[in-house]
Formats: sequence, C-alpha cells, structure tokens
Amino acid sequence: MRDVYLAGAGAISHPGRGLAALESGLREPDIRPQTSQIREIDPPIAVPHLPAPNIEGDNRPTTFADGAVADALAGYDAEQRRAMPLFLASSTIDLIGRETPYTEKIARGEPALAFETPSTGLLAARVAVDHGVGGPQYTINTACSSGANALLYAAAAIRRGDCERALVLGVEVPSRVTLAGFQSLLLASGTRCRPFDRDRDGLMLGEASSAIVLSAHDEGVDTAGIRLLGGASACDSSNITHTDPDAVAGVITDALQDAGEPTIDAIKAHGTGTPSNDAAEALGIRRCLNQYSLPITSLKPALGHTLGACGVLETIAAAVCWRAGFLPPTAGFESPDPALDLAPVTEPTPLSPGRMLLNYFGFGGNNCALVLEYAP
Amino acid sequence: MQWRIAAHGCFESVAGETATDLREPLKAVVANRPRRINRYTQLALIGAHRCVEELTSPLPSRTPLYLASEQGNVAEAVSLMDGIVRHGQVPKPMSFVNVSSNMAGFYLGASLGLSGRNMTVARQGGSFGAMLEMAALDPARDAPMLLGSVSECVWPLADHRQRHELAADAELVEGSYWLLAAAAGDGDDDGARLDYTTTRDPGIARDWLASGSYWACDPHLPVDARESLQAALEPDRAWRVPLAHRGHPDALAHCLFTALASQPIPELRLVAGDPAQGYQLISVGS
Repeated sequence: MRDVYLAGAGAISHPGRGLAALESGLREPDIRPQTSQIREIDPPIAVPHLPAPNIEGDNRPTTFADGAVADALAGYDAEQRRAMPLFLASSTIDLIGRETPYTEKIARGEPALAFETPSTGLLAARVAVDHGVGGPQYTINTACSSGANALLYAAAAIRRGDCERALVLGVEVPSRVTLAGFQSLLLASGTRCRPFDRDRDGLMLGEASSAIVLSAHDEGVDTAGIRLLGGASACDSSNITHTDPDAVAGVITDALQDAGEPTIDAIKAHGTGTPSNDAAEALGIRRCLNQYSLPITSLKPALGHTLGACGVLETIAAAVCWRAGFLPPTAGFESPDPALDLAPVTEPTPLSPGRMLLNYFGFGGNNCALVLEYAP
Repeated sequence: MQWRIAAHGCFESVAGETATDLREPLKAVVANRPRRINRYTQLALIGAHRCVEELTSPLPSRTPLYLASEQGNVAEAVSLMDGIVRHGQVPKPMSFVNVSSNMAGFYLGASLGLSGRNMTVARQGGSFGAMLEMAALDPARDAPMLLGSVSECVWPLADHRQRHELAADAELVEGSYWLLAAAAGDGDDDGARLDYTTTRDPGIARDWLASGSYWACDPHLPVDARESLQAALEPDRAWRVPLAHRGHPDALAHCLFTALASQPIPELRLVAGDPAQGYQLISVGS
C-alpha cells in the first residue's frame, strides 16, 4: 500500500494568512474576538467569533478559498494541478456568498430570491477552474468532520493509485444563519472557548480557508516529513448534536487499527469547549488509550471552531507546529474538571517526531479520527 | 468499478402546487418515525426503507451509507435564511441542526441501527457518480452498502422554477433513490449489476452508448455535449426519460431505477457528468 504524505499547504484563519502566521498564532495565541450584530433579527443579537483577516474580493468564500489554494499549490505546475482531484469540505459551503446579496436586496426593498442557484458543488467547480485543478471534484458535508473525512478519502484515492496527489480544501465563513443558529442551540460561548475546563461554557466560531496537497511522496515542502498513517470514520446515531464516550473510543480504536496500532505520542483533541462534547471526548480517550501522560491539546481557543474546515485547518496547524518542535497550548484552560481527569497543555510543549492522534466530531454523529506520523 | 445490487427502492412524486404530505408513505415503511424531521429527511427515509423493506434480516450495523445530493437540503436553508432576513426570527434549534444535508444520513442510520461511515457528497452536474466513486474508496466496499440520491422541491414552486431557470409550467419532481450494493468480486455474477467508469473522450462515451441495448443521456449534460453524443445513436433504442428536464435533478437516477424495475432488467447505458471533469458511464443490467 502506498504512503500518503502531507505536502504543500495554505491557511487563512484567525492568526492570519500563511503557515508562519498559523504557527506563531498557536505558539502565542493572540485572540481577538469580534462581535457580529445580527440586526435583521428582532431584537438584534450579538455573537462573538474569531474572524480571519480581510482578503480582497467581493465573495468571501471564493476569495478565501482562492487564497489558501493559491498558497498550497504554489509549488505545483499546470500538469501536476490538472492531475489532482479536489476534495472540498465545508458545513455551509458558500452560504455567506448567497446570504449577503440576498440580505442587501431585501434591505433595499428589491425583489430577492434565496438560493438563486442551489448547487452544492458550485464552489468546488469554481475553485477547480480558477486554479487549473483538473481531476474529479467531491464536495463533502459531514458537518464538523467534513475536512477530516475529505483527508481520509483523498488518502484512499492516492493509496489505491488513482492519483499521485490530491488537493483537500476546507472552507468555512460564518453567516447570519450559522452565528444565530449556534446561539439558538445555546452552544456558543459569550466570552471565550475553554476546552476541557471546569467552567467551559461553549464554543466560539472561527473563520478559515485551508488547503493541503496530499502526495504519494514526501515532497520536502511546507508540511514535509509528515505522513497520514491512517484513520477511521463512523456514525454515532444515538444523538444528533453530541456524541458519546463509547462512540469516541470506537472511532479512535478503528483509526489506530487502520494506522497499524502505533504508539501515540500526543493528541490533538476536537475540544470544542461545549460541556457535553468535551466530556464525551475525554471519557472516550480514557477508555481506549488510558494513558493520562499523553500531551493533549485543543486548537479551537486560538483558531475558533471552523466547523467543516477544521479537519483541514487543524491538521495543517498540528503539522506545522510539530515540525517546529512543539504541541500548541490550549489557550484559556485554567481549571481542571474533576469529572474529566484530563488536562490539556497550557504552554507550548516540546514535541519530538512520533505519532499523533487527531480527533474530529460533527453534528449528525459523524466522528472521524486520523493518525499522523512525523519522521523527518 | 462494478457493483452487485442486492436491493433497490425509490420514491418519486410529481410536485403539485402544494407540498404532498409525506407522512403516510413514511408511516408505511418506517416503524419508529423520528420527530421534527424536515421534508428532505422524510424523502431519504421513505426511499431507503423501501430499498431494504424486503430483506429477511436487518442490515449489519457497520453498513456504510452514502448520500448524493445535487442541491442539498435547500428548502430548510431557504426557510432559515428567510426567517432571519425577512421575518427577524432567531432560528429554531432543530431547524438549524437539520439544515445540514448529512442529517438525513443521521436519521436514516438511526432508523436502521447503522453505525458505519455516513457520507454526504455532491458534484456540480454529477453527484450520483461522485457518490459511487467515494463509495468505491470505502474499506467496507466488498459488503453491501446503502447508496442513495435525494432531491426535493421548494414551495412556492414558482420560486423553485426560477432557481432552476425553468418555464412557468415546467413539471417538477422530487425523488429518493436507493441501492443496497457491494463491489462485485471475480465470478460474482448473481443478480442485477451496476457498472461505473469515467472517460474524458467523447468518442469513447459515444461508442460505449451505441453498443448497449438501450441508451440515455443525462438531461443535465451541457446541451452541445449531449447533442454530440446523441447524434449517431439509434432513436428507437433511446431509454424513455419522461422527466428529462432540469426540474428533476435526479433524472439519471430515475432512468436507472426504471430499468432496474423492469423484468427482465434491460441493459441500459447512461452518460452523465460533463466534458470538463469527464463523462460518467453508468450501466445497469443483469
């Protein structure tokens, strides 16, 4: 079976654009929430989130995707791009690109139609044309595990010999619907995201576009030396908005088996900061790994919860920091929760080459776990 | 890639000026009906349960589930957006949760006791084929998996027709089409089969169509590509595509399922996709 390596990468998220910004933003998080007022709702509601920097362009999902894809593909020529399939992962895809003009037309009193062109695959088609990516396109929506699942399928295509490389893109731009929706579910923190903390009170949405090339060879660029050893995906159909410890343990066990039962040296948790999901993840990890000495972290306090994009963004982020020799801190963690018996790292923690488990869980019971190996 | 079809089932409904009540067809096939589900999920449940209703034993719990949808859960998305923008309402929690297209897979998995992979996939102009390609990468592909395609209408239909650039009197159809199928092994020739491959060469696609018993072209193919493919084909071997207009996002699945419902199952060859990403060559037969 062929190996699958992480290669060219690009990321635009709360810390800024590029891998250097991502690394420094995770080493020393500079968290600057912005509060969006949704004035169309009566009375207006305010939802804090972690935006990415502005990128020039009139359509945020498209310009965001373009930026990350351009960075990821910078080292690949036209022929290499033509041979790549594109796996696009997102929960909302280009919802904001539809919502904004619709809202503006309504405000001006003009005739307006919501979702004028309802095609889920449209964003991937545009990105492929704009960047010369000529292979088949897949738009995957499994909520917050979309990006991780996209990585799994791209890796499977390479392993089977369908392609030498695959481009995986995760895009998520919060919209009115997303911000108000999480507020209505009482899952959004009004202050900050504190995964695994005793006083955690919810997630904070983030904004991101992240793209990575997976390759059958170590290409010596961006995320060089890091291999996707394996992973697993499963559906926990017991609860629609949160998973349970057995399901978490199950998907981790399957992922480790798929990766060849490696020893794990660190964990990148899903770690949303919501009471029930952090509890399920902590208990699930304990059930199948039972090694409390493993360093564990959540990247969401620094990056925000980027929903369908987090699988790609956080995998790139973990890889970039690992290559720089550290596991990022879980910003905002202060008070251990005695019910969880799990304390994430709070300082950049030296991390040697080895193997890392990465968890991703989504609404609709979509759970995914990946195993990376760093062997420079 | 060749698939062996263990079971198939579908649900189709021509849209009237008001939405057809789906509670009765749902009740007929789903014993424990989930509450607070939207129309898109209702359609998925009806079609998929019709597919498996004659099986003599429950599906293995790790049966993977793949759902293709060209436009996703658009009615719920329109409703949420209109609720905020036009009516100033905070989204209802379950409406927000259910807007994600993968929720249909969740409810379906829950109703069938499934805990395997659960994927929702789309491709501009070729979601059914994209789903088959994804499923072929599944490590559990050698055992039967549920493969489905769902499309719904959004009322008022005048708006829906406008979204699809259709004439004011164009017929609109909702559909939910499901296969229980496994990757075929060597010498595995029992039952109906589905073959799938792709090509970028229109000549290969045309020759392949011409050499089957019946042919059909997905009405969503670009017009010039479709006309070029059809130019040399025998009209009397054209498969009837009664709903062959853009108001039926799953016209391709409709053709496949009408062939599968025929006795004996004819060999139908169908081309979908687009010239840029490649033509999808899909055939069913026995």
